[in-house]
Amino acid sequence: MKGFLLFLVLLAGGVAWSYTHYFSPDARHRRAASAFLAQVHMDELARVAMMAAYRTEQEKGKVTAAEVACMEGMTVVQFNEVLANLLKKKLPRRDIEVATNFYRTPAGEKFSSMILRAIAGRVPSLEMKLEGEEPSLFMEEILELDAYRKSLRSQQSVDPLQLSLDLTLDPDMAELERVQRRKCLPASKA
Amino acid sequence: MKVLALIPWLLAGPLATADETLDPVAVDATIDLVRITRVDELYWTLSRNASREMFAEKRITGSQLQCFESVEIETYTQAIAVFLLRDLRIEEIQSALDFYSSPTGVKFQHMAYQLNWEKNPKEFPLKVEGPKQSMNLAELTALGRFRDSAGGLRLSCPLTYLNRPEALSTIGAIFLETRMVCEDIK
Repeated sequence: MKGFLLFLVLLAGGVAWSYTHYFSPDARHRRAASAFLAQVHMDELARVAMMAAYRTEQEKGKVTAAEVACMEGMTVVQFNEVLANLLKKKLPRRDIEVATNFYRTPAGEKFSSMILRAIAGRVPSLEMKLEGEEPSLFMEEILELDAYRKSLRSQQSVDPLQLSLDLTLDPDMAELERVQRRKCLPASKA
Repeated sequence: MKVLALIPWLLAGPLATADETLDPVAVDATIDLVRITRVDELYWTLSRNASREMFAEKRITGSQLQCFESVEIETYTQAIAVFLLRDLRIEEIQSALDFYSSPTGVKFQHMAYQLNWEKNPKEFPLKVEGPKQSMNLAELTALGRFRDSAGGLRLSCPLTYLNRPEALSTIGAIFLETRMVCEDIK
């Protein structure tokens, strides 16, 4: 009897945990945001940008190589989690899913790659490795991009790609960095 | 009698009457825009194809077909130019001309017309030769800038702009008048 009760308690706990983390609207919303950010590599970009700033500080002698190496311990997943939480507060799940569907198409993938390349070109300190030739869009793909952007305009919605780029400057992102900074840098620098 | 009255209009072209009141710079820019976007060639070719179909279906005779084919592309150039001059501001025309004369504009038109021809050569009989082209981000940005410019709002797709009843009635009138002349409809 005790064993059965324990089983029930564990089962109920498992169901509650699964619901909270996987099946609740909030979890699905967060997962959609996370998938979008991974699709357009905005989480990677945020991490690369932060590390570029630390490399610059290292060149200026403000942080040591060991401290930079410690900061390197931050994973893309951590950036993805914080950005996903921010993105889900700003956009409904449906909008995020529509955007993910577009950015998964060849036209969308090329377009997001174009944007990343443009950012990398303008900020060489990011030291982003871009392989292959610069992508370009054929007429059919331009029409797909145009249809996607028109649908955003008609719903007076913003492109999650643009929004997530803006969110990399959100105070929550700075807090993520601060937490790691406290772990890696002495109190006087942190 | 009606037919005789139409002949000088067809020969002289509608701009001859409009010329006196219009700014010659605007007229030149508009004619350049019509030619560079090849919309005159498109409607001229469509009307020639229509007359050839009528001949194939034995609805017109060989001499009537010759009469149809004697209509020059310039007639369409001028009719469309007059329509544009009446409907658009010079800023719009100039901005569209600047874009379609630029390397990005030339490429965009090539890509758009090539796709149109591939999709429906009957309705878009302007064959565009050459390899399939594509646009990089800088070119897409230039295209986006044009779309948001004075001319781009209405002329980012000249064919859509001309595919409205007001424009089509102007262009269709040339074909109807040609029919009246060539088929001797009184």
